[in-house]
Amino acid sequence: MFAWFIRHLQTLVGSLGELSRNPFSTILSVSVIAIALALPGGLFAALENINKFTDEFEHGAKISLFLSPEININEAKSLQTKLLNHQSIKHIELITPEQAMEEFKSRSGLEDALNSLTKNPLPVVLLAFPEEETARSPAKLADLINELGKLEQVELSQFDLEWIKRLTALLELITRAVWVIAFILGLGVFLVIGNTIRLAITNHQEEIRIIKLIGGTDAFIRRSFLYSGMLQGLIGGLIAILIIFILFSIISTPTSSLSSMYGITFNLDPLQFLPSLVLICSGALTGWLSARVTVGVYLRQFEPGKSNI
Amino acid sequence: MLIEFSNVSKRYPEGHEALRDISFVIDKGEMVFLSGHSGAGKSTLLRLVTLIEHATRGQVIVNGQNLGRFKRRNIPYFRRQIGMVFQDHKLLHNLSVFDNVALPLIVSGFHPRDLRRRVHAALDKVGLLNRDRAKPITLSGGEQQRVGIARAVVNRPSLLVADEPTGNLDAGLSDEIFDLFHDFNYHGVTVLVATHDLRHIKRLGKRNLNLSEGRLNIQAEGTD
Repeated sequence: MFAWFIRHLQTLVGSLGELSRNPFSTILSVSVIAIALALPGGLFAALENINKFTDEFEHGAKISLFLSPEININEAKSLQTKLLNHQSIKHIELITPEQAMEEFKSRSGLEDALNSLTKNPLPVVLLAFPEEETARSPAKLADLINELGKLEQVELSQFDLEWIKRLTALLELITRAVWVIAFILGLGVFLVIGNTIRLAITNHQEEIRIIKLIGGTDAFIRRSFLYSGMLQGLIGGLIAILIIFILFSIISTPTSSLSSMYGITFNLDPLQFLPSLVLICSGALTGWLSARVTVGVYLRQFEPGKSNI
Repeated sequence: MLIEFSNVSKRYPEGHEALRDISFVIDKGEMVFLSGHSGAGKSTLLRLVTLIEHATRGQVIVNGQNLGRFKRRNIPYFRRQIGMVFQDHKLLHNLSVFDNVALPLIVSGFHPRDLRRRVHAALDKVGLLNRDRAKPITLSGGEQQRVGIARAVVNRPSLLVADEPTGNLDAGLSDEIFDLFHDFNYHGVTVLVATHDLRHIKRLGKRNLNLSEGRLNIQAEGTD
């Protein structure tokens, strides 16, 4: 067991040495791998941020119930109490016509014109915050809006549903596109590593023949190439994480200031720990698999009998 | 006996008949020369012994194993019982002398603890103990061949096979190399050396298998 461990360690160190002996080609292929991994990784992180943003939006989703003008505050309050028992509603806020008028005055800048009104034309408004489960499902939300709209005290029940629907659909589409891109670029990584391994095998064919002559098994010869492929994928993955991190820190400040202009506090999160780990591991795994396939195809070509010894 | 050829023929795919109906026996602990002009089939015979090629007809038995039915995946384990020396040394030039000699032990999963001692013993035997850190390219041709021999014996094989080991060396260095083989044979290793240099055959007085055009010359056998 100990000898086995030492042997693997030797091969690992040997592969590292091999990679550092050809710095230019190593840097070249590792960079290609890093970029190929950084793109889907970055898109994934961006998607996570958009999801976080829409989650926050859905969390604050509210249905505005504009009550009929003849409904007074007390009637509105009893309706509020009644609706609080509704299973799909988490919380209800009441806005009196006076509060609404104050807010309207301060936001619209039409204070003088509004002051000239003799009577407040605004109705009582109830803001219904749906339960999270309802807020997440456009269908359930539509049912709730419909139901509330049919109440006799309610004149208008309003929620910009289409917007949420479109955004959800769009995110769904983008998510799939990211997976497709990830798959294609993963295939690219597979081919890039396969190609460097193929070149390495060709460059070392004499060594391969000699090792076979002195009793080296295919597994022994394969091992150093497998480590080499795995290391390239691993290092590529690490650099990809670094690229994503740098990219996100570059756009983080403008994103925050842009969102603050819309009155939203939004902080850009770089790739989380778990997705980062997945990215690095899938890089290493792709490298290993690619080396395994390439070595399987090419190793048999370099039998000692097929050269002049 | 260690090596037994029974009516062995070898025809290469392109049609060249390298060996025709060869039969001989080499006993354990023997030292045997294989002579003949280039193209006589010396290399092909050694390639059959080391499983680099398979016989087209007949039977080859080495160390009690019939080489006719050898699975590809078992070949490496078979080759570990044989030390091979080549005309062009076949050293790995990116490795040090020490690592080159250690390679057969490394590929066979030798315990690292005993590795250094074994490698140094083999290098000591060929007189290159002080050059273990050097790269093969910095050594002379004769020294490189001695590294090749140290690599061939480090695993303590029962059979040592050499194909024109002194082909590129001058007479003095050749003598040193053949004396080494002779010494290994003296210590019980079976040695089979292909050479066209009849001087050594006469000098060491060992049995000679003479090949011409793929056939064994019976008359030449047993010159001692």
